[in-house]
Amino acid sequence: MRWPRMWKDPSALGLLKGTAVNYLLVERHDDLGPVVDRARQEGFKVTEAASPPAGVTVAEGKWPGVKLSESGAVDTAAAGPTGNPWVDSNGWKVRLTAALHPGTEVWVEATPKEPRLFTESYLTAVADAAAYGGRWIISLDKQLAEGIAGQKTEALETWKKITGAAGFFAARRDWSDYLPQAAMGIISDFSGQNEFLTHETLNLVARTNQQYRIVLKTKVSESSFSSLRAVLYADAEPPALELRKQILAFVQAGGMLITGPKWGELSGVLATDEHPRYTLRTFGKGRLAVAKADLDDPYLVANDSVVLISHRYELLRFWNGGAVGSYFTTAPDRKQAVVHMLFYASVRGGDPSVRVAGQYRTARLWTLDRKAPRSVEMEIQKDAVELHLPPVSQYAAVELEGWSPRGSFGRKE
Amino acid sequence: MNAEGEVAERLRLEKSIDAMGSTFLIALYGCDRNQMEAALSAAFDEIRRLDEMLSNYRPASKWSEVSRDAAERPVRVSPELFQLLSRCLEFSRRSEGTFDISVGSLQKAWGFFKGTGRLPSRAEVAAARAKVGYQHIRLDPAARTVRFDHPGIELDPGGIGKGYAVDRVVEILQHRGFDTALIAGSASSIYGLGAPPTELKGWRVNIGDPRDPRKAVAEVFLKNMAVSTSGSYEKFFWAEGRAYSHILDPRTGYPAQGPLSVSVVAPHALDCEAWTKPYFINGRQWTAQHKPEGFHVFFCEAGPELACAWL
Repeated sequence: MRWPRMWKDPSALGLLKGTAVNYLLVERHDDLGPVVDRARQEGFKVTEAASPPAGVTVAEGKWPGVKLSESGAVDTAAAGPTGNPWVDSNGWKVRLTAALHPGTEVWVEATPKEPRLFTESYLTAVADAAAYGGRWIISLDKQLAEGIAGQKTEALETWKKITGAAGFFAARRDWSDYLPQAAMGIISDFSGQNEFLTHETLNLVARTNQQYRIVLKTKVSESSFSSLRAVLYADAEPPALELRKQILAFVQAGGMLITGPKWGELSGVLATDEHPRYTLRTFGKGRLAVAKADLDDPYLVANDSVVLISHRYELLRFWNGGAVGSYFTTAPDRKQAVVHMLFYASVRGGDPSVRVAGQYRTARLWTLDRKAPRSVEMEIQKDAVELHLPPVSQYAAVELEGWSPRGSFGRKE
Repeated sequence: MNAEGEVAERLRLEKSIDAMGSTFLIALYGCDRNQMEAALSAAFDEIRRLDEMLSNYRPASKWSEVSRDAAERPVRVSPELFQLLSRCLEFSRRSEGTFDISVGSLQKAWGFFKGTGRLPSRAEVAAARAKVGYQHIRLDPAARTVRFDHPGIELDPGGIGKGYAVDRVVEILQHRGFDTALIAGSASSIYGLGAPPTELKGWRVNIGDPRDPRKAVAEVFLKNMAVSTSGSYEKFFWAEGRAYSHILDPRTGYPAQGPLSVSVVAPHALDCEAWTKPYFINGRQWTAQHKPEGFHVFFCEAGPELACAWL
């Protein structure tokens, strides 16, 4: 947690008793010395706010939630036919940071911009990092910090909920080891000249609720492609020979490659169907979708990918979901799956439903406000289950057991 | 002013709710946080109430009851729903049938109800089309009932629900004394009440470029005005080498071959939302001849270059 500058009295450490908060990031100020000393005595790890501890990678994030427009400009909205508002989420960044820095914890730095936020906004901040295996560095707005210090009931209630949410995820840390289920793999080095396009593509693919896997091109192996329907290769330079061979083997076996003209020489036979921005070819049992122009617009790359793969292969599909984000994972022993759902609106009006690919015997629903799971109405379909959820806000996870998926299983990114 | 006669600091609260398969966001300016929170709470209660009333996903909603039973017997509805249905029929008549709330069976045939779209056979389209027609919806003002004179009619609230909810929220906020707010039913139905302190011309709304909605092709300033947009570029599916939009022409049963997007700016969100589709389907010329005074319509049409202009 980022220790509020105004909490100068060491007795404030009592607020952390029994919570999952174990690390304090403290600004270097003489008047915080007594707090630092007491914190260390009480077993907290303390570090300077500007320098994260070893074993931790800090991802610079945005305050998550529904926005009037992507630009974030105050009092400015975006008009369009979409039923979905713009949502800022750090989930993709947590996953990418973890993939680029294996073996480290990912902490998300996202500080409140508003002078006083609603409680639910904080719960979203906690869940938006933790659902994807990261930890949000708890950072309080000025009024909330003042309210807590002044023992104001409402502020203390908010604090209790924030630490309760952090505790929820701390108690389920094993979920972070679960493997992402994916229909699409995104292959890149995610750096240098490829950084902007691939990072923004991850962000925008996540917004479509398409389940994806991050594949570092230096670490591609046969298992990188397991269970995938398609891979996206959008890097500015053509793939190295070995990587090219691996990807084409995946296509020959029935997968799809989505790429740009930089891919180089094309194999396969022209397909009869057309796409305004892609040339489609068949190759072995699979398909090649090669963009007619350079892939430079992540919005088009993300949305075209979802359409090219086809909605029929979606692993999760929401109805009445609203501003929902999702992350579908399975336990390493394959006995359980967890669907993390983030509801970014402040309040939930209706009951969402989600269709989950695969077949399951049981489903139970976890939410931040309850210690025990609830049963959830499950409708079994041919190759999926449809779950009818009660009105849930901010975050919910469905734990599924008795898995019999359509494809094979996930792998570590 | 507060009790001491000082000008109170202007607060800004922003809150959102998931409802009607969409997300409503309200940005509200005021001086008293408690009153503002109470107003937002009342607004969200109203959105929930309308979601309950107008949902075609909930079997228990009045809307679903009408769809299910009105071919068998007259269904008595609330004055509010009766008035809303009357408005819908008026939209249908004035739009020459290009707005039609009876398109439920067509939406299902094309897989847009609880789905992402599918290509139906000609026979399926014909069968669904036979169950469409606002002329078959009979309203009895004296008994306040709805009756279908044809079996299989299914009402779809998709073309009016969000706009109506946005208008109702505006009324609630005004009734509670607020005069500065933005109410957005996602990006597709937006109302600007008054003008924010940051821009006295009104609430700035960027109309998205159909080829890249993150970019703006135009901006409008809404001051006691609404804007709605319909477009073929976001909700569509590919089948047999071509894209099929979710904007169905109720007269043919097939997706309309219209422009890329149409935005309507008018005093009420319900009107804006209802008229975007007829303008989309009937095209620029028809729109120019039929749009009421005070409506501003923005067309973006495809071609070698994107052509966008106000009517």
